[in-house]
Amino acid sequence: MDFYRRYGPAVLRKCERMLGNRQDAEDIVQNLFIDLIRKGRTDVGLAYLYRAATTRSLNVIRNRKRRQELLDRHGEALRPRGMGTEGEVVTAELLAELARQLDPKTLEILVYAHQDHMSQQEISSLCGLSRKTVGKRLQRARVTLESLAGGAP
Amino acid sequence: MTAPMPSGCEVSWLRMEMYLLGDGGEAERDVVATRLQDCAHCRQMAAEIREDTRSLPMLPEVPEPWWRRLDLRWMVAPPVLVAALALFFVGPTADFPPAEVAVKGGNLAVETAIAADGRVQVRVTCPPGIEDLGIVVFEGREVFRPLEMPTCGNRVVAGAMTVDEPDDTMVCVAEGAAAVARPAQLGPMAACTPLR
Ligand SMILES: [Zn+2]
Repeated sequence: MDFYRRYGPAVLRKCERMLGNRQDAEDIVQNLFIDLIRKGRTDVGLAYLYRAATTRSLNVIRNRKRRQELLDRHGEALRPRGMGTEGEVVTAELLAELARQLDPKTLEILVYAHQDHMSQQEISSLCGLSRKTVGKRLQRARVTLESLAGGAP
Repeated sequence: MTAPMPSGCEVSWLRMEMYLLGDGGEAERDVVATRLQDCAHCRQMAAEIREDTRSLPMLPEVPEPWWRRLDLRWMVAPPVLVAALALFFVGPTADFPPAEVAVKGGNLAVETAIAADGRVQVRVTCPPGIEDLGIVVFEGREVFRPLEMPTCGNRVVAGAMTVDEPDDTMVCVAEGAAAVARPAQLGPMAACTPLR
């Protein structure tokens, strides 16, 4: 399926960032594409797929058992493989903790800002929210992030 | 993959992925191309994407969910019908997307929208005389009935519920709560619409 071959890898990378785990990411991507192909919705672009993948990944993360598994790993296995650990980077492990503290919409916006590195403007058009709303939500998320950084969760 | 974002760098993973796929407009492509020249972080993002050559998992064959086997083609209202239905609406409409998502079944029309707070709004339009409505929601492979029932009578009803899989959700309303008691037997007298 061309649609899957074209967009599957990008969506897989996206889910892997959120879940910190290739196998879970593959499950989500498979199910997402199966559902879309079954519905004949192969005309959607990557922006749509990013949103759908985010929603599904957050559902997995909110699952308590799954969240505990992530938290139990103490971040060792989830160390960013990029350029370092400083900066406002939300790892899969931290995201699992945040899922306990933030409402779903704020959590979604936080993922776009702090994992996908989207600007507020980009989030605003992706989610159909005003930029002001995005800004307020990110402010709320930042307070939670700072409180987690300042002490044990 | 989780490299921190240096200040001044404005290209997200999504934009970079789209650029490398050749998606997006010409102006956007120019912006990203310039960033790739000027920004080491952007170059690293692009390199990470290009170097990820892991293979995709195979897509297994999965049977359709049972409710997909219902013939739902009758639910798509032609534009002229939607225009006529719009006359029924007397409440505020600004919060709802264009009426193209409205679909009709029997005497009913249903529209849905996702509010900023994530709740699903359901608007049902019906002729006078219908007192009793049933609503049923198909989410993924599950079926449920929201606690809050819409009412009708030529007015806007904002039902309230949240779903976890908005991309895979269908909302159906029918005359009489009994009509939705057996969702598998919903017929053309139910009005249904996908959430997205
Ligand atoms: Zn950059």
